[in-house]
Amino acid sequence: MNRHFTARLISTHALGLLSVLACLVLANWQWERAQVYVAENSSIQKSFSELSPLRDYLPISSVGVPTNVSGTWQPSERIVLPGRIANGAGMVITTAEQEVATEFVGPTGSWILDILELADGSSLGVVRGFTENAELVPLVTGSETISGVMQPSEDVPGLELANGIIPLTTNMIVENSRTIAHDGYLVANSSSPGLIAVQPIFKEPPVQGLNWRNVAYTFNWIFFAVIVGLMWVRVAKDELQVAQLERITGDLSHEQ
Amino acid sequence: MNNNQMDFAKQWMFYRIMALVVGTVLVVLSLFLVSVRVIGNPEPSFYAAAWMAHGYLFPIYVVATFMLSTKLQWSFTKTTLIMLAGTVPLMSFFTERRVAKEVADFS
Repeated sequence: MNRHFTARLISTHALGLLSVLACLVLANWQWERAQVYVAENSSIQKSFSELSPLRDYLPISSVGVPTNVSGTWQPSERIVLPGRIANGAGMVITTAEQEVATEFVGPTGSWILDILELADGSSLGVVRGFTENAELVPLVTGSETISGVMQPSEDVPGLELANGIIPLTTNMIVENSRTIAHDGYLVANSSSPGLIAVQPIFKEPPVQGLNWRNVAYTFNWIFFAVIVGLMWVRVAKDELQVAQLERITGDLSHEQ
Repeated sequence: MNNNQMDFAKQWMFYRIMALVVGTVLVVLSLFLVSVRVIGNPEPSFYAAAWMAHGYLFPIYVVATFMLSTKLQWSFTKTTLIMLAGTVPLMSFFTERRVAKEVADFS
């Protein structure tokens, strides 16, 4: 057998390659976890049409900006989101430790989202409030002007909810609306009867930031990958030397 | 003392230092872990940074173990077990003692 393809060398290469790849996959995982949203200040009110263009994604600059929107409630299109608390920001995972389990501050209940049909025929998901008894909240009817702040679909990268909370996504709103729906949802500022006002996850437009702890772990895994790579090279070199020595010894014994 | 013996002495010292440093840091951090997770005390300000430091010290301990293993011609399993000893509180102290005996025989 060629000295470069002994069973030991092949397994050394396979193990080395797998170990380096595993370290790099873990580094990439930590890097993805390092991407977080950080809020920046903004409190200027804007018109809804300016904030939320129809048939397009909600611009990140529109998130958390106060606005007013008028429309007609669609009582048959309610979405109840259980396992939540009134403070949206309190449901978001911000540290690695929180992934195990997060102890929520305040009672757990449901967010009530109703669909508001706007004058242009489009639909907008509006989180009207929080309740511990969703079945007792009466259906909403008629027309209304709502003040609130726009929030992105909760499946955006970098946003992770604690304790396995099901994210409120645009898809969910689209599936429950009979007309074309806006991306994201509005969180009403004032509370409706029988409901507690919800504090939105993003109170200001977020900017993408980095969680430095996860960045450090990323470099930790890259460091590990380099070390494993160096060990791999060293072991492979030793194996080659042993194979070479065995060959030379074999040749010598043949000559004798 | 020839060059080979000097190299071996350096690698043995490198391994000992790293085993003791990693072992001490891990024992201290484990005590804080129990304090934070089991007793429910607040995290000290240096807690996350100290775990991070352990995360960087451990690969250096792995290198030290690997270098010594090539000199002492340890098997793959033995080398791996001694490397993993750096992740179990107090274990690196015991392995360092056992390796010290082996080194005494080797010398």
